[in-house]
Amino acid sequence: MPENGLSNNIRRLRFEKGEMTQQQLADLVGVTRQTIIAIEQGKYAPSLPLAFRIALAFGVPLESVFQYEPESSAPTHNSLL
Amino acid sequence: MNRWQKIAWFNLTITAICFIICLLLAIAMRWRVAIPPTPLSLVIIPWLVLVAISKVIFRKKSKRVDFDERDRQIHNNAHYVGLWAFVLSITAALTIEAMICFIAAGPGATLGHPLILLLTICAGGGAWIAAESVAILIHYSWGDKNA
Repeated sequence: MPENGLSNNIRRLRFEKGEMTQQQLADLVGVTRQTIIAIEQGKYAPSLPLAFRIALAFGVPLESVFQYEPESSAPTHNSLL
Repeated sequence: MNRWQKIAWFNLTITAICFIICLLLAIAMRWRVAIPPTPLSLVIIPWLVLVAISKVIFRKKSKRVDFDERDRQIHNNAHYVGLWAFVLSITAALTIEAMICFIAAGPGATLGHPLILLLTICAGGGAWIAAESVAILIHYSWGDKNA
């Protein structure tokens, strides 16, 4: 699990999308290949617009690409109610 | 290695070379080695020109995106690191110069020579470029292991 609690299925989705390369995905969403690598490895949390562009590139909802698991100290939805 | 890493390596190398040349000149002046008089502008002006044109030397080669939101974030962080390095190095240099002046010539002494201030600002500029380049290289290498 990455430090920011954000995980993603980009690698799996790329392979399900006809073995799409990182460069092809980068060209589709308008970023560099290094950024796709950093996102895949959980080393960079993308902005919301970029996250939506990635989801659109795969044709799936945002939550199918990115998942957020809050850390134990972070406030959860239930604790805020 | 992407274009921005190449530019950072270039700037860091040029700055390091200029720093070493300045250091050798200072040592030569201190030990009065018989060398032809070398104006510092012969070191500082080429350094400034090379740093300024580094983006032209390493120009964009393909139509692909080479600067995105992550690059912007890395460059913004690196700018802050560079700015802090500039402020700290100028403060440290002026403090050391004032102390040397005070110890060598007493409380009434002043840093009157304009060259001292120019050299201090140039040293601060060098620290800025070097720190910014190092910050860029560290940021990229951290998330770029498999690139």
